[in-house]
Amino acid sequence: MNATWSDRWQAEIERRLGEGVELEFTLGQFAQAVEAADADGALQAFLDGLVSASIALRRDVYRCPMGPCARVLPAGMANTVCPFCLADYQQEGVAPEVEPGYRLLGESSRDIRWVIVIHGMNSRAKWQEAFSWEIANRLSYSAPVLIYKYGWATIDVFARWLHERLARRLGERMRIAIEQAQKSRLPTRPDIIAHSFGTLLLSRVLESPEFADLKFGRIITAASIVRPDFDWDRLIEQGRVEAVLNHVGGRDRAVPWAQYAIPGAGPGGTVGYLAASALNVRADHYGHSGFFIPENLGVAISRHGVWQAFLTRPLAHFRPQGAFVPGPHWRPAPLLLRLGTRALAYGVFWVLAPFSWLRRRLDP
Amino acid sequence: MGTDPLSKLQLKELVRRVIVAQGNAFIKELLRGTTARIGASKEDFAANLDAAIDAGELTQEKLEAWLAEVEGWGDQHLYLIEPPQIEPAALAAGIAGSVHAGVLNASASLDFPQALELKHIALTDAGLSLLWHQGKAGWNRFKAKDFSLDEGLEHYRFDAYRQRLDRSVVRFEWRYADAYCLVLIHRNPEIDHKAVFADVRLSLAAIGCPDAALQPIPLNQAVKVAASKGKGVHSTRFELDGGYVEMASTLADGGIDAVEPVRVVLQAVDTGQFDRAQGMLHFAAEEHGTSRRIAVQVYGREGRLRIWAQCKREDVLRIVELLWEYNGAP
Repeated sequence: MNATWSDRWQAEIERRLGEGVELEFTLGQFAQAVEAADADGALQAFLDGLVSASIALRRDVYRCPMGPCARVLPAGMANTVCPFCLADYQQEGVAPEVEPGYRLLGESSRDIRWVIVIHGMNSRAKWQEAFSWEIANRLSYSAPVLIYKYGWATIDVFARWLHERLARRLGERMRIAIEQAQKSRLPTRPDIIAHSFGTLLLSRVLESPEFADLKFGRIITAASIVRPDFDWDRLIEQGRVEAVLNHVGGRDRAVPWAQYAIPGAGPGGTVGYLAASALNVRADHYGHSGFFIPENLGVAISRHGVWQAFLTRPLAHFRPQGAFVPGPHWRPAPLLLRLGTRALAYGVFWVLAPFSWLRRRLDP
Repeated sequence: MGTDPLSKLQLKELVRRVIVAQGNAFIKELLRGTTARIGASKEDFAANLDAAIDAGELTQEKLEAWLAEVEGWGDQHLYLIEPPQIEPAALAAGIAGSVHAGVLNASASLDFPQALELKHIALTDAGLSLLWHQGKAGWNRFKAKDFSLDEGLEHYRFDAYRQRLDRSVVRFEWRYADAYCLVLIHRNPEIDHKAVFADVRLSLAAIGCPDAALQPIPLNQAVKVAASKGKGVHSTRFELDGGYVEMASTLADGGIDAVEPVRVVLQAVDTGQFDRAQGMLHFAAEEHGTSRRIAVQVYGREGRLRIWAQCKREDVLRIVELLWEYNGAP
């Protein structure tokens, strides 16, 4: 077997497994895809090797022997009559042609059916509209995007009771959206993209018994201020969340400070999530909002970009550039220090609250 | 035809006829119930079944029970129709007073006449079952017997055909607990379904059911719901008077769900906008509880299924139950 050919065949197998596409094929179809001859014994030996290595299954595929039809017959048939050209094989004195068929043992790709996007603090989050527009243009199908806005939050983030109020509103909005999706025959599990303070609100919804009935698809947190030890493993195991990707900015200067001012926050967006089932990916040159700069956003949601790939590909083979596993020994900053700085922040909240309230009235 | 026991010779004759028509997997299953060897070819099966009959291991009772499970079930057409407007309790008297009283609980018939003929009625507390037989002859191309002949300056070619005798079975099944009845018709393309419907109607009227045309129950919604569930749908066609959309997987195993570009097109179709739907669905053992993988074409408007695999009674009933569930879903 020529090494260059087999490398090419192997690359094609890896592509298919990685993207979760074209997992089922006949020898002839694969030969055509890799520009080899149908009767190439080496190719068949290569594919049979995949079967021996439990990477693929082999089963005979039957093809209608009638010249003008020649279609692959579906499994689960008696193979006495062609369901397409209706030729009766006994009557015609012919038998279906047999050829080797293979199925790679991997998951199929998935689709982005609908998405909820949640912004961060101190922002109008124009990226949400840009995301909605870009995703609508880049996907070859329609995927509704629920742009969730909770207003321009500034000092509000210093008060836990305000978090809870915002999280409850978010959960209620999610529930309504899920009910509407169900009526539209969309899946009941939306995918979610959340940024910064939006990630903390999302984590509160996930932890709230009031919203324990809500289930989600794949979640992307960008510049997360969720604690690194947040129990994503439990949520995934319980089926509340399908998978989570934590996109970390290598130059994020805001996330490390969140735990000192925002109750319940942590540096998930710099340290990474400790949960074994979470996928942490670092973009070295991104700052706190670098993910949403139009050119970066465009790359992330392009066909082979990290976000679209995470949302659509089987995860067993998903190894994006920048993936890392955080060290296991993360500890929050000393409690006394955090309590002190948070008390200070809470004080600032009360001093500025009337102005914030007025500002929200004038410019929500 | 009564309930007279068949002689061993008659049993062997029945077995030979059945072997021609039945799938090997099912005959093997029958042989496994005996201590006889199984074998690999139809000839082996015939010899081994004869031996089992001679040894008294394969009795008429066993054979009839097996036939009731497999003959006339699978690789056929199936219609879902509205049940007759009659109280089930009145059926016993209706049958007893009819010309068909003699076939009530009759033993397996060897007779496959040219015209459709009612051969068996089974009446229980749970349901009514009627069974018709028809012998349909056909011709199979048989190239091994082709020959050519030169006579003088002329050259002749003779293409050989071997006669095939189909044991065509038609069934009417009514389980009182279900909101539908089934009419199952052998796959032979020479059987006129309208004529079968007329015969079924006549027989039902004869046993006391109101004389009314059989009304197929449309299954458009079943196809639409199956398509929205995704898995197991191999092809779909949604129609309205002004046009149609059609999608299909050309894979042997995987359905539309396994072909991303086709799958996303299906997701974009608002099936509610279409009046009619048909599709090829696959029912798999692990997912749907059937004994094997079974491909079924559903013609929604006609209320008709074309079951493409040989299977057993319980498989057919399971498939119909699933489709009925889909048909009633929003």
